[in-house]
Amino acid sequence: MSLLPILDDPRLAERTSSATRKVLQERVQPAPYQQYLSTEHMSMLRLLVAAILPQSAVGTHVDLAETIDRRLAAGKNPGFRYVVLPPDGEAYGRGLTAFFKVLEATLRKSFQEISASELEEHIRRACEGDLDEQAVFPLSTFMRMVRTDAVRFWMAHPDAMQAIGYFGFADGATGNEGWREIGPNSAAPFERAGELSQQVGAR
Amino acid sequence: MKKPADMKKYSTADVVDAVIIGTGAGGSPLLYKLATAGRSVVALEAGEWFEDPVTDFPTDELEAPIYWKDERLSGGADPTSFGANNSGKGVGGSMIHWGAYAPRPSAENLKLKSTDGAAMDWPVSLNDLKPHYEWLESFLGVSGPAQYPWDAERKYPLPPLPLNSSALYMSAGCEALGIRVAHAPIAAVSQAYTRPEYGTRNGCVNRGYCHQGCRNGAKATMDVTFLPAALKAGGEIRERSYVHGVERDSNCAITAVLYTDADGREQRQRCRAVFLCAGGVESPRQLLHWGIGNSSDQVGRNFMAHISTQVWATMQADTRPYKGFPASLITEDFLRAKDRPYAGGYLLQSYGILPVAWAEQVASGRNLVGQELTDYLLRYNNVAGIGMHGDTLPDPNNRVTLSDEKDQHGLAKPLITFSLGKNETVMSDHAEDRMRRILTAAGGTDLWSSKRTAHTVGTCRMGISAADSVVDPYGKSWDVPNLWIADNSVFPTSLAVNPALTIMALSLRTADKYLSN
Repeated sequence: MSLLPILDDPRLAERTSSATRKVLQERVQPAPYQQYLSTEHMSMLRLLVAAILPQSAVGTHVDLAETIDRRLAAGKNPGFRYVVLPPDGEAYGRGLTAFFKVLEATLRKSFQEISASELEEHIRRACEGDLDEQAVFPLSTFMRMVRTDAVRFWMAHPDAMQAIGYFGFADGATGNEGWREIGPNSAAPFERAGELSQQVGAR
Repeated sequence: MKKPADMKKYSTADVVDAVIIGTGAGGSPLLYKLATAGRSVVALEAGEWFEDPVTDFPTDELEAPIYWKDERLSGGADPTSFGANNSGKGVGGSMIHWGAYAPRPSAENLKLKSTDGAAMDWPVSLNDLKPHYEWLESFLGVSGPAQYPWDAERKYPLPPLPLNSSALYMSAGCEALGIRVAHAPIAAVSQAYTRPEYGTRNGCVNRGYCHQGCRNGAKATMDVTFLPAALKAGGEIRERSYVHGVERDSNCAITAVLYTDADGREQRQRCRAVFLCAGGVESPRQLLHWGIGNSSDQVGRNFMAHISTQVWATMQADTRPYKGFPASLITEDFLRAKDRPYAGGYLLQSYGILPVAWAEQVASGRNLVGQELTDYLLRYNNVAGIGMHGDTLPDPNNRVTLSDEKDQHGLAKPLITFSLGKNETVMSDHAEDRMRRILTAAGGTDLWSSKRTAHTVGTCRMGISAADSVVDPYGKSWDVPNLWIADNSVFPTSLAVNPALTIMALSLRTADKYLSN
């Protein structure tokens, strides 16, 4: 099996442009990088993103915390930031500290001991803006950024694509292939085959 | 577009007739018109020159290299998203990623004060713009229906593009409710199309990654239409050229544009006129940075983003929303709804969408956390959507200002403050109700909405008086004798339609006026 199992099917591979393949390959096997957040913040971020977007039932293992940390290390963002937040790197550090400080104060235990359901409930309250005042930090806006980062990096990962049955990347190697049938229930044969191999792989 | 080896190259010591800042929907038609008229003209573009779309544009949402990623600060009660949402960078500007949805505004939509008692009338009428719309639809190769239900006279040069799943469901739902629909006018050629100005373009192959850059020339981006024609006529484009200042003479006229070139060297291009075409955020930002053209105190004010609420539903069938032109169906029945409790109107468009963009809407609009979120994201291949673009009324407190933070060029980062008013929220609720009914009638379940905003409009408004506008009805600065603005920043109101076709029409009108002097 290759590093990019989603391209194991030659019919999918031949319909994927080399530029697209390069991007997907780098996403599955990224280059080494310098960790940006502190070790404690990374532990917090792992807990947080695992609670926002749990993957175990789906069978994917995308390291969302590391992907977010890579983004911060590279100084990249989508072209804007919410003005109520400091620059993204600082926002993550301060936001994680504030979020878990409020959580620990509320539940009177250390963040490592907090259950998934407690964490999930706390995330909901933070998203609703119920904790902004207590945290003395715009946690609701911070959570907006974290949630967006989590779903972006998961959806864009080839493992999630396979779980979803998404094959939009295989739209032709030259730009002149595209899709013939585009209405309901018109998956191309190789798309259905991709889904089948995924089910087999999961057993 | 390959960079032609024989592209005309002016020296910075030359005094060129005009410098154009930006190569999007505003700058490209101007470059073409001025070069064709024999003027010496240089376009400065901040972004890259993409020479081969097959290798430059991966089929991927995160690594598309075509967006303006310089950090902007977004504030107000309803901060809008920039980057991939509405802001491009590169030779061709935001038109590299545009959705090519190309409806015209209605006559009434340009006259909101007269018809609805709101905001202001445009100092330009539909009759002023109509010849430009007609020429553009032919030049760009707009694909559309044989009969346009809301304008009996309108003829499109190419047959419509095929409908994807979302469009077919929207069509079925509208039919059940007695709402008229049509194939949307889309500026992508449904079959091979040849124009003497730029040659032959391939027909659209329904790739679906239109917002990440078209790979076969079907979509009417500037780099397959206006720009090759402009270069052939003697225009010059300098990519990776970041403008940061101007020099002026004692009459306040601009004598040179200052910029950092592709090699990081400071340059000074002497010129007789300047066309600022950098869009609804960068144009006012440049003017505020230069400190000119703002005797009205209107530069940066009245920032508008279309109210663009979407409704999503789960269908029983496989919809695969990544195929076909993302938005390919239209109804204009709500441009002037009879029972409307708001000023202005909106259009509805079917929505195909790519997974990351959809997941972002889910995260912001659906408020799911935990297993519920993961489970819902897995339903991507079964969703269908409809979206609105509605009038956002100008508000002087919604504005672009210079923040205290500096960017990598030493310029202040722009701060965009944006809050929706009552008119927008009432209109959004009206539209959401219609969209929910349509999707339900089409068999959709598990409906939810996302109150997003799109496009960057306003900020250098045109008007009939120097006291309350930045430019005159032709885009000429009231304050600086040889400065013109041609982009979405001159819009006095947002209109209820996508802006690009109107930006190009205004740009052609500005060019005609300049050339007639």
